[in-house]
Order: sequence, then C-alpha cells, then structure tokens
Amino acid sequence: MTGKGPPSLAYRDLFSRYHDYRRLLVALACRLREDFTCERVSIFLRASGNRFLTIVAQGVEGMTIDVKPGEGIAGKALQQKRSLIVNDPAHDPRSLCRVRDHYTGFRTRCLLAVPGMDVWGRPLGAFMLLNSVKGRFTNGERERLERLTWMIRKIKKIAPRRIRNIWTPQLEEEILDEEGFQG
Amino acid sequence: MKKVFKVKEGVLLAERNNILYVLDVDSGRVHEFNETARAIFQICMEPVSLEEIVKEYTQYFDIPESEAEKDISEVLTVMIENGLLEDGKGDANHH
Repeated sequence: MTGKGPPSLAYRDLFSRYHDYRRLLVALACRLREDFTCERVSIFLRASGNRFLTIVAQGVEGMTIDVKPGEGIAGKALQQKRSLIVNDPAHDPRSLCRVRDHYTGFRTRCLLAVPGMDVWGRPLGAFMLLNSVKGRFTNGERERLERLTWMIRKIKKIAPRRIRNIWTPQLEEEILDEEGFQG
Repeated sequence: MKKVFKVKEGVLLAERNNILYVLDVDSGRVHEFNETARAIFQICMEPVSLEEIVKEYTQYFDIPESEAEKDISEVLTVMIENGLLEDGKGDANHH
C-alpha cells in the first residue's frame, strides 16, 4: 500500500483530512481496496426498520443495496455478529451472490464480510470486500479487517439519517488522483 | 437448440431463517424456497440448460448427478407450474 505509516494510522489520517463525508467514504473504500488487494469494497450501515444499506458500494452507481439480518453473506455476518469468509460464493448455499450479481452485472468470486458493533454489541454496519486479487481471502486478512471496525462506529456518527449509496465513478476518480491510490 | 431455463422478471426476494421468499409481482403470490430450491432458483437467474443446472447444483452440495437430477426435476416442475420460470430455447450461459 502507499499509505503513510502503519495501516490504522493511514485510515485515521483520512478521517482527519476529509470533512466531506462523501469524499471520506470513497477515500476509505479506495484505501481498503488497495490495502486488501481486492476488486471492490462496500460499506453497510444500519438504517430504519432493521435494514442495512450500502452507504458506499464501489462499482454500483445509482443503486443502494438493502439487506436484512440473515440475508446473504453480509446479512448473516450481521445477524451472527461474526466475520465470514466465503471463497466460492457462487456455490455456497448461504450466499445470494448470484441474485446480486444478476442485478449489478458483477461476478463475485470470493468475499469477506466483517460486522462492526456498538458498545452494547449491536451491529451498526459491516465492511464487505469482494474478489481478492489473490483468489481467496485469508484468516489473517479477516483479523486485520476486524481491527479496523472502529471505523464503522465513526462512519455511523457522521452519516446522514437517510442512507444511500454515494459512490460515483467521477468521485472515485477525483479521490484516486488526490491520494495516488491504484484504481 | 437446447431448452433453457431462466427466472422470470418481476420477482422480489427476501431471505429469513434460511428460507428465500419470492414474491411474484404479477400473480401477487409469495413462494417459500428451502436451501435446495434456493440454489436452483439462483442458478436460473441467468439462462441455463438442464445440463448446466445439474453441473452447478452438484458443486453446491457435493452430491452425485443422479441424486441432483431428481432434486432439480422436482424443483423445476414446481417453478414452471407456478410461472416463475421462462422456459424456452436459446443460448445458455457458459460460465
């Protein structure tokens, strides 16, 4: 990665430098993608009605993905309050990735979903990483992402009440230029 | 041309307690799919031939093809009877 200093400090640095939450979220997603060498990153946050919505979903413009606890892999990670690695989701009975891929046009080959909880242990949201460039996610990456779930609490504090996916290719392009991340 | 199967457009999905609920917007009916039917339903999100469904399904559950064919036949029959599949002839997807 191209960050300054240890990874956690590099993420904290983004929180201190970006004051516009849209730019911050896209910068976080870009850094996570580069740090974990994967193709896409989504961040889910709890919304009304016990639903979880993507506040940023790379590669998905104009569509907010909505999951309820127990739905698909992200929903199961949130319901079970534990991280899940699925390295062949197209053939995993727990997954609904074929449905999601049908609507997004993406092809999910492996994924890592890590929930973040509030101080009472209630799920606030989750990180979901898609398609490790190496072909599969490892327990080491799961543990490393779990150490970054403090960011979900910070994002929840600054997120607007009405959650929607704010990702656009133009915004990502701007952030990539500013930060020098790999696209 | 091979016969292909594909889930019709106009369905809404929700999952709860490992049951997939499929709302057919046209008929207003809600269908409950267990783990077996859910796998077959997902495979049919894109146009697929029966042979491809069998191949994909055996990868889901690691079972012999003969056993898979029985499950698939039962589920496809129910899905067609309930108007959830567009069955016809055409090019299947090749993953």
